[in-house]
Amino acid sequence: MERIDDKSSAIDVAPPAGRTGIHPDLDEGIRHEAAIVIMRPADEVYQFWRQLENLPRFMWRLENISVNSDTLSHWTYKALKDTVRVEWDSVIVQDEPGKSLSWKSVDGSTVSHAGTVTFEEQPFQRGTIVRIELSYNPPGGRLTDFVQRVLGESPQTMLKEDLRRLRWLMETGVVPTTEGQPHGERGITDALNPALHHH
Amino acid sequence: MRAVTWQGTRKVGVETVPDPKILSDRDAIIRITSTAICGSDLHLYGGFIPTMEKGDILGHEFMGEVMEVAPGVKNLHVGDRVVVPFTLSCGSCFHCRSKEFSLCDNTNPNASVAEKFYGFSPAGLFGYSHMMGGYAGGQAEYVRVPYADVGPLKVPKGIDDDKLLFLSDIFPTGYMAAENCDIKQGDTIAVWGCGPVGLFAIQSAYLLGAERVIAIDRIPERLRLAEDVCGAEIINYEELAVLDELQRLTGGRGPDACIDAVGLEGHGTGVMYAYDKAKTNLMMETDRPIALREAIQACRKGGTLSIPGVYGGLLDKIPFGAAFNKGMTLKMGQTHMQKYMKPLLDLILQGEIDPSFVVSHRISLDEAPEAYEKWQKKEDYCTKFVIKN
Ligand SMILES: NC(=O)c1ccc[n+]([C@@H]2O[C@H](COP(=O)([O-])OP(=O)(O)OC[C@H]3O[C@@H](n4cnc5c(N)ncnc54)[C@H](O)[C@@H]3O)[C@@H](O)[C@H]2O)c1
Ligand SMILES: [Zn+2]
Ligand SMILES: [Zn+2]
Repeated sequence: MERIDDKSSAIDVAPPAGRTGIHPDLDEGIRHEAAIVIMRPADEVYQFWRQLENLPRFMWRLENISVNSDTLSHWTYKALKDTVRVEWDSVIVQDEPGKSLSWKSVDGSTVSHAGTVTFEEQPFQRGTIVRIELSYNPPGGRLTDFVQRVLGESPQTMLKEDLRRLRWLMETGVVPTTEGQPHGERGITDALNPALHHH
Repeated sequence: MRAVTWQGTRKVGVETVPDPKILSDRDAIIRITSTAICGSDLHLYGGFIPTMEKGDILGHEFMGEVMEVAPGVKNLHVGDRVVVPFTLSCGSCFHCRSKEFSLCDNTNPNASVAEKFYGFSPAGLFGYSHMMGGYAGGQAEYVRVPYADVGPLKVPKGIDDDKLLFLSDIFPTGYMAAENCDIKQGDTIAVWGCGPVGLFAIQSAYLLGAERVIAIDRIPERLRLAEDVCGAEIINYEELAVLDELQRLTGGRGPDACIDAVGLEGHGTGVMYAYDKAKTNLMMETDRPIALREAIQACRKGGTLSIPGVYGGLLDKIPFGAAFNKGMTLKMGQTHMQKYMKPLLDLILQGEIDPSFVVSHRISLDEAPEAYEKWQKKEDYCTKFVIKN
């Protein structure tokens, strides 16, 4: 499937479909890939990820994951500036402790979703490369993906931010924030555009 | 509380704003006793650094007393006296582990914005634009210090603030600038800029074994400090051609290492200054790298250029061919504060160095707007403004 090019970052380039070859379902739908290096042992990052309830702590579009059994879980996802809430059941289809984990939505879900995460510990204390590949067939298909991009919610960029938050949590225990700190009176342009100014 | 805020290009104000609160598990709240205005603040004042917003609290050189600590901060206690580094560092990422604290991976909440400018994000900084984290600064009565278990340095009571305050930035910055020169016995070091950073770079170069230091500026009182207090030979670039004079002083070999302690608002006398001024005014260039160009040109073959002066964007007409063909080494960046604060505190406590010599003005918070203007114009014999609460 053709992919809309996203130039927002250097690690956004999707590999050929199904590159890791771990997860056949990744060949379907809109694919995203991102990677980050985390200065913790692969085992530890894997363990954190394997507790699926942790995922919404760094994947901020995920509202909630409730775990039903060792392999089954229920995911609630917010999209399009929180106006759309999508839910599905997910099943773990492959699990190699300390190395990789794959999951997919159960057959018949409104969203067909599949994902693989791999943890590659680097030699000489260079940390663990965490690579994630996701594919979605969202309700509305490619149109939704397009609309998300227009609304500034590029899933690719979000995925990169998700991984950055994972690193923040794993390496420092906190997510850096300035929310709630004091400031003086803001100007008119700042009030209209609370987002950052990219001069 | 009262705080100094950015209002737009060449406009700062003093406003009443809410007191800071603990927002995260590794935060502390400090009551500020002394806080300084830095040459780096002038780049914000001059509108050279993007992503500032009206109302942002300025200031990154401060010290004071710990008022409150979050549960994650075990090493600080209420009542401790601390100097706070201007860079925020997590202490555990790849760069912090390599003591490259100003390159910390984890302290900039707006890392994605910095990545758009620079490819990667450096550490978060206090009071230094949203791209650098948007953290409220310390030209105020109180400040929230995130990652307080890694940053603040405890200092003994009973020593004047002015002796310790510059551990927050400019003393370590001058020191790292000199260390980056990799000074060997017999070396001659040339330093562009005799602001506080340049002055500490001169002193540090001697501490690290330089034979001679030659300092370049045009402001008489600053050149006098360079000569009388720091022991440098001096060149007033408005009176002498710097390149010729450096050749003459070094017998034609050139300085072994050069330090650019001027940064992006370089001033000059020649055609290049007019060029940069015109281009930055038209927004076609972001920085005025006058000193940088001259330092590259002046440096001896195989020499080192150390750049503590801040640059922000895209620079024109850098004689890179000279740097290449002379086989030069270039070192630069924001200071890796936590690496230097403790050893430099020890030097102060041993009486080896007294950084308070740079202070020219002690003022109140309300006088800050006037001080910014004077500092920018280098009026009133100012060398460093310290705000006292
Ligand atoms: N790397 C860091 O971590 C770090 C930390 C603090 C400050 N800085 C930077 O260091 C630089 C100096 O800071 P400061 O507080 O000393 O500022 P300052 O403005 O007081 O000093 C700059 C000096 O440079 C002189 N100057 C201007 N053009 C010159 C030229 N062409 N040749 C020689 N001298 C020239 C000025 O007259 C002035 O005395 C700034 O760019 C500041 O942002 C960097
Ligand atoms: Zn400073
Ligand atoms: Zn770090």
